[in-house]
Amino acid sequence: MANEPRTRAKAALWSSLALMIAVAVIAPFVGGTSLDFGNLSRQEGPDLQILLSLRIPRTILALIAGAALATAGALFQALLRDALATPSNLGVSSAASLGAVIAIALLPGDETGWPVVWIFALGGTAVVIALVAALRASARFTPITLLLSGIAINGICASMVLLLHSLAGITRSFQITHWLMGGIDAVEYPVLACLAIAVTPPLIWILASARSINVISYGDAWAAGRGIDCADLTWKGFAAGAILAGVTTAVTGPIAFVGLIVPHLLRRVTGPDHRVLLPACVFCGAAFLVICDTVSRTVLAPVEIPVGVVTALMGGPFFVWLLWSR
Amino acid sequence: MTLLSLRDVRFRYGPSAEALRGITLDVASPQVISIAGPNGSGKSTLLDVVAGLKRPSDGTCEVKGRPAASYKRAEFCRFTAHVPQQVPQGIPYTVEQVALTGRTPHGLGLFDTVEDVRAADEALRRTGTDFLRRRRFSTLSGGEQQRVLLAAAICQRPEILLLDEPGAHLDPKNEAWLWTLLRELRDEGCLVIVVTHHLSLAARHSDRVWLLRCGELAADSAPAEAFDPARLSEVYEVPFHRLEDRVGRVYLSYGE
Repeated sequence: MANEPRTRAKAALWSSLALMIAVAVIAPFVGGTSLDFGNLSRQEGPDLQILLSLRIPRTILALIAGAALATAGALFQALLRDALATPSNLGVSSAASLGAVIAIALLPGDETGWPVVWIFALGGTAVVIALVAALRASARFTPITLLLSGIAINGICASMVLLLHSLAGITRSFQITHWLMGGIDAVEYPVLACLAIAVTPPLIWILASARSINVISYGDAWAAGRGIDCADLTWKGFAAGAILAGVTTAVTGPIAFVGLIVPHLLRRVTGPDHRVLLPACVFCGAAFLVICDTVSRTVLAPVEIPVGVVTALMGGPFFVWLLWSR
Repeated sequence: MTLLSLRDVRFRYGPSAEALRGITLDVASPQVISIAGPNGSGKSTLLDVVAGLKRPSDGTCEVKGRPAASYKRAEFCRFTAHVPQQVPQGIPYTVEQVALTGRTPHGLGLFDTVEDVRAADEALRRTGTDFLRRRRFSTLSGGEQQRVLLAAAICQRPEILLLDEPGAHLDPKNEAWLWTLLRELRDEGCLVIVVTHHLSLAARHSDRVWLLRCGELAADSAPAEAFDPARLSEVYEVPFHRLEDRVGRVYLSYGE
């Protein structure tokens, strides 16, 4: 990068990191119930319990999920040269959702003592990755076939979810609806640790591959002449993005728009270079979802709006404005 | 060691579409080679096979003593640069960033090295596009875009440069400049293979011509022999005329 863009890129990266830190520090203290700093310092009343058991885990979950979904979105858009590519329309989120819905509709649930919903959601993601691996082995593996296969998987999974939803009893049907709306719930710290461990390797790989991702975004013909093994990079990139989106969806349910809005907004600030855009997506995706979660639990407190609804309501109009103002 | 060796290379796009039919060629030293022939004669397919982008259905294509397919892409592109016929569309990057893509096979570190920047500067200067370096690639004219893509290929510092119709969008001044540059690259030790329809320029500036007809090699010789009007008339199915000016420059005209 030449000097001027490099300075701008550095400023964008430091600003997005500062935004993420600021949001992460402030958000746990915002909510329907005000926290008393005196009680917190004296460790009196329920304030400390609310902070440690509810607010901080939620914030950490939103940070991880936002970072993972925004990065996966930016990655898929570059690999498939499709501005609308996200984990949602490539079948990853819907396959994870189908896995979760199968567990909710057909299995005994919490009585087993196993987190069956998460396990089945991860299973759904694994099936999509296996299907794409099979496609990779054929000569037909191109961004277009990957995109169209994703759309087909998305349609099949959505239909299966509808079928199971219609056959489930009232209680389970409500559980399915609630899960499909997506939500940042307080989970235990070991779960957060597992989630962080699962998303870190693909995130590192994606950030380290940013230069190759830049070149493949020109198209396969150009990238192949510059030494990129396009099929290999597309497959590895899909697998990395699918792991990010799949493990996140398993814990939070499907949260749309993060992978679409954040990368598109950031491109206007950082430019298209993925060496800057991808880390900015990590920081700003995390900040965006924490903000959405904070809004979801405060606007109508004590009623909580599903965070998927907030991301769509905040992100949708903003995204339309973004497109029209180009 | 030959730079390039093709033995009975065939390529099929499907059971009934054979694009190359038994091409056998050897190139031992740096030179400028033009690939000519009518539309659909297999020129771009031949270039893609040499570039390792297409595997021959039959036969072998060896580059620097090894089958092209046996190289890893990055390893292969450290000494071979290919510029496709289609200019990538909607590229949001600057001219300088496009030129720097040529450094990709030389290292995938996150940041451009001093050597990368130096190579890009030199390539942009040689292609006369350094004044455009801050411009967004997608805002350039077709001819300017072609020169920037050539800069990226030169930035790769290849021993073998493969160009598919690099002059398609160039005006006469820039096309004349292009052929001069290709000869300079040859003099620096680079094998240049260029697909072209501009036969007069190819006749004047090439060391060798591969003339294709229906996937077969109709000629592999010096331009004077390959571009014999009778042969060209037969290959292109249109009458060709050869003219020569007082200093011996060749012009090929065609049509009634």
